[in-house]
Amino acid sequence: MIKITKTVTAFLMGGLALAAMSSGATAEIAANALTPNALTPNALTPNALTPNALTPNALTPNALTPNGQKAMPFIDLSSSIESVELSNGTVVVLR
Amino acid sequence: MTWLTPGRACTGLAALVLLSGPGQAAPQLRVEGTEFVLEQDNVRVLRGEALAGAVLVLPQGRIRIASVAREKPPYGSEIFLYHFLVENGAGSSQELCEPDPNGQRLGFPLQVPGEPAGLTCTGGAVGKCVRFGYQPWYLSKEGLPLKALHQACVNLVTANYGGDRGTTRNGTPIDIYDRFGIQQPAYAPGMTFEAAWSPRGSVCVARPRIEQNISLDEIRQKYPHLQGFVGEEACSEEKMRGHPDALLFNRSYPGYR
Repeated sequence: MIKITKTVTAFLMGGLALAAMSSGATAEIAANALTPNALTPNALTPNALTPNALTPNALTPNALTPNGQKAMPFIDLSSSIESVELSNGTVVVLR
Repeated sequence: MTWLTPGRACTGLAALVLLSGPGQAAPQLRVEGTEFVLEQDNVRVLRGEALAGAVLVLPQGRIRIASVAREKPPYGSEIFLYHFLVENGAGSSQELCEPDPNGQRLGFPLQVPGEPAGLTCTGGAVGKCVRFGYQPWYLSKEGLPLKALHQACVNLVTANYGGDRGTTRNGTPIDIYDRFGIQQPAYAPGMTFEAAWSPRGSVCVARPRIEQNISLDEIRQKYPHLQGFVGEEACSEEKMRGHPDALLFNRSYPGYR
C-alpha cells in the first residue's frame, strides 16, 4: 500500500434520491446530531486509515464513463417511503 | 427505474399496523447524518442497528436493510453503513449498491442541507467524499466549510474541471488532500500535482487526469474562467495554497490511460 493508502479511485455518485418524502417521513436533522466532536484538523494523524485507502482497480458500473455519463442509473425516489416493516412483523405506516 | 419491482403493500396477515392516534405523534422516519431514525410514537424510537432487518416500503418497491455497521471517519460524526437489498416480488432480492473498491456493497441515507434526502452508495463519489471526512451536514467546531468541501471533493473525484461534467475513468488512482488537514497527501511515487478544487469545479489545472477524455486546450476553450490557471506553470500546489477558493488538491499519474 505504501503511499497508495491515500490513493483513491474515481467513481461517480451512486445515489438514489429520496426526494419529496411525505411529512410523515420528512428527512430532518436533529439538533443533537449536529453537536461537533472535539476533533480538530491538527489532531488528525497523516496515516489515519480512511476509506481512500482503496485499491485503484475495482471496476464498478457506477463510475463515470469517459464521456461523463453516469453508468449507474440515478434512481429518483421522489415519492415518499410509505411504511417501514420491522423485523418483528410490525408495520409502521408513515402516511 | 428497473431496479425495483412493483412494491407489495404489506407483508401478511400477521403484520401489526401502527397508525398514529389522537394525541400521538405521527410515525416519522428521519435521517440524522447517515442514520435512519424511526420514531414510532412519542416514546418508541428505533435507530442504527435496531433497524436491521426492516424493510422500507416505497411505491416503487421494497428495500430491506440487511445489516447495519458503523465507521469512524477521519473527521466528523460516525457514519452508518447499511447493506441494502431490493426485494423482488418472487421472494428473491438483489443488491441495491454496486461493489465499492473494497468489494463491499454498502450505502447510507444522506441529508445535505437545502437538498432532498437521498440514499448513496459507498462506491460513488458522494458516498466516498462523506467517508473521507467531508460531511456536508456536519457543523464543525472549527468552522470548516464541510458542505463546500464535500462538493469540491465530488468534483475532484470525478475530474469535473468546469463543474459541468466529469472526465475521469473508473479505476483511475488519485491522491486527495485538503487545506485543512482532514486528508493529507500521500505523495505516492510517480504522482504529480493535477489540480486545485472548489465547489464549482477546478480552480486551476496543471494537467488533465485522463488526457484522452479532455486536453488542456479543451479545458482552456471550454472554461474561459480558468484562463491563466491552466498548465503546470500556472497551476502548482504552492501557488494554490494561497488561493482562497482552493479547498482541495489532488495528485495523479501523468499519462494515465
